[in-house]
Amino acid sequence: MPGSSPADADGPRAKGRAPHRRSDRARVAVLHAADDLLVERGYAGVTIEGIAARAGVAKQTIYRWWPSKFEILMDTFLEDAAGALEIPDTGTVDGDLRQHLRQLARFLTTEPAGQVMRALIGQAQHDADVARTFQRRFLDERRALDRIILERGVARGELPGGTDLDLVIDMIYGPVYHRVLLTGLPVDDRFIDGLVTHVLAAAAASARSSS
Amino acid sequence: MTVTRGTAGRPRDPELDRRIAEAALDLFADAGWAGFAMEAVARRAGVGKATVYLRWSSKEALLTDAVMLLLARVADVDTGTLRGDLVELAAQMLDLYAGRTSRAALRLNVEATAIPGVAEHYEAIRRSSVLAARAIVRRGIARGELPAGTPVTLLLDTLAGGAMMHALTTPADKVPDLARDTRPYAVRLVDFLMRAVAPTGTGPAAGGP
Repeated sequence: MPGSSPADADGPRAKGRAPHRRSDRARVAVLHAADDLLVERGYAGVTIEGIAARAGVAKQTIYRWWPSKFEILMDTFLEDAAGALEIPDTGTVDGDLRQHLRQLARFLTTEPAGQVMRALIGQAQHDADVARTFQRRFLDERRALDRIILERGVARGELPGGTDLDLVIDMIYGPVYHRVLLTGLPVDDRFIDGLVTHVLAAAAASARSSS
Repeated sequence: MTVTRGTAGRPRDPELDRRIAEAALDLFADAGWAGFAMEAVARRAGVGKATVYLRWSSKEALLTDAVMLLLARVADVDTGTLRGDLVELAAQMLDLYAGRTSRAALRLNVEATAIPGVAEHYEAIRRSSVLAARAIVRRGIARGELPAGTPVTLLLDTLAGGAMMHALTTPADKVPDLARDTRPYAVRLVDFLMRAVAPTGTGPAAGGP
């Protein structure tokens, strides 16, 4: 297996070009090994040594790309999220929200993503760098994408022009995270349908009352 | 195992109890259950070890009491109006996730099930908070502030979820401002939600379906 230095010294997150094939294999092996270890042993049980052994790569290879195990888990999480949470385009804001919330619910409740997220949020409580990174690379990034759905809705006239989009995002997505992270209640289709109907009705009524 | 409140018979000093409880939650936020120890709590609170041991028989009991004292307040809300109660509820949730105890609260959500004794108490607190919140909405329905068919669960899910999401996505440098005054966002959240469920009710909304 790898362990020697590939040409791609910029690391795995360099965007916009195909990574060196051999290094990409090593990178994927590292990400998968980290996921597996987390599911098996929990956050405390994930170590760089353990990841290296399981992925069949040298520890130096890992350290060249990632400063800590947190960064590795963050990358696995973001990579999984990018694949699972593409912004839909069904033609209506209602349809887009329902579909996107289903994607989100499935993603967060399917291991290892859910467990990785809980571990990252737990870690973020005593590590300000972790908190900032999680907020910037996941929450802010998601919010920017979630806005697209709503902005298209405004453009099509389905949502009133003055709608407080940040408030709508808090209320549409917040309950899904709240259930997954805190209450453990199911996020099923019935819940999602009710949530979307409820918040869109509030947005419509809100604009009526302020116009 | 069972967790009992301090049974050593010493008269409790609420001020001191509170200081120790705050130190306990801070330590738990920093170190998690793995790093939670009576001695370390005592050091952080600036009291002697004996002071802590006299009050709590175990670290499970100490963390449970700290959680009960500092994290559970929803049951107390009854301002007389639905809007007043919901604003109070939303503000408490914002306090919980943006305030001093937010780190401990979030960590507890992640770790509570793994902590002997604390898990059941935490679950009981959570359940009683949910019931108290549902009672707020039911009182609103009984007073005619909401239609009988109001989706109680959805209303509270959007309130709690919205508050949590707002606190989680507020940039770190703005969190102190939010924690200092959670009411403005609580009002925004509640007014927005109430327009959907009470179109002819207490808010400024009119002309609903």
